[in-house]
Amino acid sequence: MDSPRTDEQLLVAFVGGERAALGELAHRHEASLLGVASGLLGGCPSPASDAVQETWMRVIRYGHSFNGRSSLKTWLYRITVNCCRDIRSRTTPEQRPYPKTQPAAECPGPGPLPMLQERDDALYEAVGRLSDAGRELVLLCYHDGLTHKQAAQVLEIPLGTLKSRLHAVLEQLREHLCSEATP
Amino acid sequence: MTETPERQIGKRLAALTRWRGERTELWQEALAATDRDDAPGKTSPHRWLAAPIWRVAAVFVVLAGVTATVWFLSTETSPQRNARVPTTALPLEMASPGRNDKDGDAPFLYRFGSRGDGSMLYGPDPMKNYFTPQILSDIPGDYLPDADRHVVRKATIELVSDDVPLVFVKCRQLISEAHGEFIEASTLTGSGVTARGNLTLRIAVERLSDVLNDLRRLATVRAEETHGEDVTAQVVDLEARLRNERRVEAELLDLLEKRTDAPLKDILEMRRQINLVRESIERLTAQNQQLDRLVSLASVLVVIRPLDAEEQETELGAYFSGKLHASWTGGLRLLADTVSGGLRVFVGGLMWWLLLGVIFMTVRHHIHKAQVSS
Repeated sequence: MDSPRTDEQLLVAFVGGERAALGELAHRHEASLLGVASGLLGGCPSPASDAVQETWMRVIRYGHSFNGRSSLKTWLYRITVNCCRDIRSRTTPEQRPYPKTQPAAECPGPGPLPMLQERDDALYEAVGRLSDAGRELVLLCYHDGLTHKQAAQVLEIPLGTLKSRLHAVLEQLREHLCSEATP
Repeated sequence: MTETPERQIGKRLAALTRWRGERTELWQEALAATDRDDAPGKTSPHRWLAAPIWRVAAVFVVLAGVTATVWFLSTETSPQRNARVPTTALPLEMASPGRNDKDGDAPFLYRFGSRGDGSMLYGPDPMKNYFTPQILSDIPGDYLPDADRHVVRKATIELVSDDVPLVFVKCRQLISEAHGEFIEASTLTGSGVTARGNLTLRIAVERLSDVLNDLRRLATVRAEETHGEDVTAQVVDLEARLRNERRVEAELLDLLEKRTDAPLKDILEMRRQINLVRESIERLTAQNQQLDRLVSLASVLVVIRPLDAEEQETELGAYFSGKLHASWTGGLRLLADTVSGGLRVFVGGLMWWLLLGVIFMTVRHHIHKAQVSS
């Protein structure tokens, strides 16, 4: 039985014309990318879907220019983070999901949010108070699919810098959460 | 075992980025969207821009174009380019309205052309072998009768040769007694490396350039200088005074002739006045003739030195410092020319540089965007 192809092999195959290879790639990573996008965009599914769709469009257009300096996984996450930044920059301050917590009914996009059953408003509030860069850093670092090293590659910063910034961001979060907890 | 606060926060943060939604096929939608635009793997316009060689070539072409445009425009507007001085004369025209060529020897001007600012370029008729044309002010009717211009010409030429006596003799042979030329002074001293020759030649002004050319061919020219002193005003003044004195003389003579019955005392006084006037006339005539001689015969001072003497006289230190000074001056001039040329290109093409900068930033932004996503 053949061993499954690596992500890079799938990309090469897709660039060579094998469309199914892109589907295999998406099967592996699309859910994780949607999770990161939804976390960066305040838990709203519609902009998160837009961000991930835009990610795949860029992969389709510029997949031939992937030079392999980083892993394909971190490349995909980097594109997704950039797309989330673009979406944030396109929205007005009132429309942005952060900093204030957005009730589920007010999320842009059609339909309710059945997927976000365990909405953590307090944490959203605290995360929303962070800067955009701090928010990206902390969400990527604690994302299930990424190690700290991979998060550093996604954000294009040294690992040591990431750790020091993470420590500072966690301190801020702790303060926010404590201030929310105390009456 | 209870979890630490950090682990709790970590779990909660991980939950924020966990997708719990329906399974999506966003990649298919993306494929469909790009299929509508272009096929996967198709070469995009950004690709060729990303190639370094094309970027360098594009920048080079644009730079060359802007530089050439600015340089061409600057030379087009330079005053030197607009000051056309044709070498061939235009058809003859009268400079002064009302005068015509039926005035006999009345001088007229030859219009050579016009300058870029509209002023005229006049000069004497070259066929009459007058002096070289000069640029004059643009005053209609104003002309300079070159036949009446009086200039005292002087020239100094220093020659070096390994045979000073030979050159000395040849210089003496250049004069033409038929034109009234003569050697005003000549000295030849020393011999060998100490030989020195000095001559002062009085040359007919019409032959001055020919004689100077002949002198240049005799030996190596080390230095040459020409000088002209315009004495026209003095000549005109002298002639006017002469005319006046002659008129006074004629009037006095006429008066003397008519007043034959005047007292002796008056007659003697008139004769005394006539004598004074005649003395003045003689004096002015002599001055006029002196000026005329100075004008008609140019002075050429010829200094002849031997080659060896020149090298001995030039000390190494003076030679070294002279060379350094010349190099320093030349280098500064070259630096000034380079800086001025660069400044001209930069300032003259400022709008083009700004446009180029905008284009470059736009292209760079698009390329960077594509590369970041890569």
